[in-house]
Amino acid sequence: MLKLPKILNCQAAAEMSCRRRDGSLSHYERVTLAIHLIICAGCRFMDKQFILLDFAAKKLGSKGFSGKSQPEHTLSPEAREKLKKIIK
Amino acid sequence: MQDGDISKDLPPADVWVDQYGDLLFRYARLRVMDRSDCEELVQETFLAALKGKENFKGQCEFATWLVGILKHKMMDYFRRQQRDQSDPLPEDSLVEGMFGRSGKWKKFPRRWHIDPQDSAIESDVLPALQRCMEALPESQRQAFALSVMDEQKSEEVCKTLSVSATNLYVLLHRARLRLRDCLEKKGIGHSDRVKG
Repeated sequence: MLKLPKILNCQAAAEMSCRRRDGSLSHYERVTLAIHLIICAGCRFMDKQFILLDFAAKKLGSKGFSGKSQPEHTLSPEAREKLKKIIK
Repeated sequence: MQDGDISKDLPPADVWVDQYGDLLFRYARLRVMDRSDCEELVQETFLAALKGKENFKGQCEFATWLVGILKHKMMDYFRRQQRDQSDPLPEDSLVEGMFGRSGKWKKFPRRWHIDPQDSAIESDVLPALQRCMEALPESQRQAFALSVMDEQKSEEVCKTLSVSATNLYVLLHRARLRLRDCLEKKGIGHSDRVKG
């Protein structure tokens, strides 16, 4: 008998949406997720946001961001001096 | 990489710290939470570079060569760390709290008016994402950094972080939900956004 896809809740849809990005969703899970995304606007937004999030993360990883350097993102003066003494 | 000399010649060691120190530190800081551990990793990188500088043949930019050494040092650092090996992982109350008992969002995600091509990605999203990543629990941050940011294969990430494939997926799922929530709270994708 044909197995009808079950209706997911948002929590399960969020988990599947992520797992799909990491490449481990069965065909059946893809169908149940797609059905949920048709009926739930919030999860559709989330699904798109995950795409943007991964895109931004890759960009951040490959080039950092060009914003002003803040103290927490630079070596402390003490660490810099210590390194300069070691590396000559 | 933005800063650093683009020359493929070996720069004199006395300028390394000024020219490449912050670049290496920022690279480590995105992936390793502890500030002093990051400084330690930068130091280890410079020392290894000093020791092996004759191996630098100008086949890439010097900055890229240094980052390559730092990557190896970071993988060793991750392998050395003790992690929660429990299966399933303990609950993440912040993520669980995003949903009601029926599994519905307590606060539905809003539409983000932003595309990957927008200049706002560079100016707004990347700095906000960096801050949001800093707020992630260490295990989630490492899983997200290696799997998504650095695009490593999941088998490699599982090995480096000593986690099962199932737990890696759980960590990535939790990290994405927290990051999504954090970015939305910072107003990303909305015209009335708040910087921070």
